[in-house]
Amino acid sequence: MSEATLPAQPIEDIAPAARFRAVRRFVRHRLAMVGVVMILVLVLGSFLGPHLYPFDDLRIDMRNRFQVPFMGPHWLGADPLGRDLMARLMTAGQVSLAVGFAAMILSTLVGTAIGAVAGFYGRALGGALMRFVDAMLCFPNIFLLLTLAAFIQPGVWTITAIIAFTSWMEVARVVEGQFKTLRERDFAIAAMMIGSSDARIIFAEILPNAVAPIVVAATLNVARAILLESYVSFLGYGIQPPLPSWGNMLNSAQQYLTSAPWLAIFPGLAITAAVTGFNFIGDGLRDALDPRLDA
Amino acid sequence: MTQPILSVRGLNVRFRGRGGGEVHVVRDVDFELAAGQTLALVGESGSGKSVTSLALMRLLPGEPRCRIGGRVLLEGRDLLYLTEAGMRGVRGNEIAMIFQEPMTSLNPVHRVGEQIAESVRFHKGLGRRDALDRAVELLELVGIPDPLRRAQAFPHEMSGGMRQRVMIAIALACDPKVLIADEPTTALDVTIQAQVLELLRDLQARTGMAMLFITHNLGVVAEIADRVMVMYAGRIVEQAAVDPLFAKPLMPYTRGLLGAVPRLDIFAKEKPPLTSIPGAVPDPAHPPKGCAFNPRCTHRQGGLCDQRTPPLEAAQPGHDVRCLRWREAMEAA
Repeated sequence: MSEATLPAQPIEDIAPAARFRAVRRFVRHRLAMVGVVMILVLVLGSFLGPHLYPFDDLRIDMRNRFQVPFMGPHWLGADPLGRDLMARLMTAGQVSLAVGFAAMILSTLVGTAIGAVAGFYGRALGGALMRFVDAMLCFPNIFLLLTLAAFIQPGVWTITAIIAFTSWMEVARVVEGQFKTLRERDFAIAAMMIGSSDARIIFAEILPNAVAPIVVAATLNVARAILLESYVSFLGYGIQPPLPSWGNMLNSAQQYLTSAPWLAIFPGLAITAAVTGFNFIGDGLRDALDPRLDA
Repeated sequence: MTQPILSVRGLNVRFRGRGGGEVHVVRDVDFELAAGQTLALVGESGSGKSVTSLALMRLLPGEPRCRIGGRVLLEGRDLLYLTEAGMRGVRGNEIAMIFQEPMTSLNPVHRVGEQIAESVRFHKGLGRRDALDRAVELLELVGIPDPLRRAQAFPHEMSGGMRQRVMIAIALACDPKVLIADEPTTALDVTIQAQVLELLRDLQARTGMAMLFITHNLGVVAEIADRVMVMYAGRIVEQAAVDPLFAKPLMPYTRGLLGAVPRLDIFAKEKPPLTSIPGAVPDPAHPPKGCAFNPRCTHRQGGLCDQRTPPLEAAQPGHDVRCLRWREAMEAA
């Protein structure tokens, strides 16, 4: 049948209505849109800002030490060495956001892999994996994080790895639950009936159906990773100066809390904005992707 | 009968419960299936029909939870001794299956064309493009209008009848020798049911595949089957060609099933009352003593039926029955 070659773009006119509905719901979700705007401002500000802003984050300007915000050349003021706070916030933002995203990607991959195997195979293997997840969840993850950070040479990559190591469990649980139910669905059994391999069923049949909750969990994980990074960096175990991160900026601002409060306020605001922004997006995605609303 | 394609000998399936107790759900099932032939497997829910078909496909959980005994010969090869990889080469390729629920058997996130193509790509090693062409061809074969466009559709954009046609297309993708249809029409409304049956019969005539048709709908059996096998509590209780079975059922259970089918002859002077079989299928973990059907049977003879387990006997050539009192039933008929 030679005329059976598929036309180039009939996809658009029979497009999946469900996906459009989800997008529409997300766009109409007011908080989610607020979150998107907040994150866009932070990301663009951190990554494009330094190219537009006149001050370098490492330039020491002794004449303007402790410059009060809006009262001199430095927009958001300057630190004890006269370094520009705005420029430092931008560089710190690059580090914090990058660590947050990287940790999210890593923890989502690990969590998805473990959850998928546990949920798909179940029984002894699944049970063992999920009890391990439970055991990991038993540790308050701040302490786990600090213990690990105390033993491992701090750096951007090691911090990312440590954060991912302490935050993959929720994703694993979500994915395991999804796989457990989806594995019993007729289409998964139908795939077995046509002789598909386990790998094919896991990746091609089940995983695409479990994307929605994974995306939600991953988004919330970014917020958590940013918070955790700030936390360890604030305590001095995380990103080490001179490389700034929002967390270690807070740390160095501690001793000037009364004399130069802006040094703490602005990084604090940045962390708050990033965390709430990602949480808003996560909530919005959760509402938008809820399949029950499609019925 | 010509050389059978599929031959099942002494099939037994036992499940092991958590407490270590064994439940014997399929007992000594024998049957043969020749090319172009349709065998209907009939019985109530819980009689072991679906487990039988899953055992043929080796899709039951493995040991120690489930033990399968006997032989399943597909053109002389025993499927029960194939490796898992070898079995994957059989599933969908030589034996295909369609299910009851067309609404849920398709993956909602993939286009139907891709889903049909997948099987061909896997078993026949076709490239993506060729496989998609084949998918369009198959959609046309199963009577879906505008197959080129429909191949691009997602399952939720199709009706139940269309989806069942897609399932059939997937099953037929690799020209299987045996098609197992597990209640393929139950979820469809009556007009669509008739169309799907018509389609299956037509496709069988073209491809010469053998069909194992699992159903509890006797109307469908009369419509499509050559032979009928009635199952009760894991055992075959009666087996015959369609006409003799419908005309002269020997096993009281078969008679009960036939009596429970509503008839539409509104001009009949005396309508036979619609009967039902009292009770329910026995718990396979605690089968009754003697004939498994005896607690529900209206022809039970105390002291006989609840003591001896009846063997499967040939009442006539090609008509087997498992009842201690079939001779009396035959005389009465």
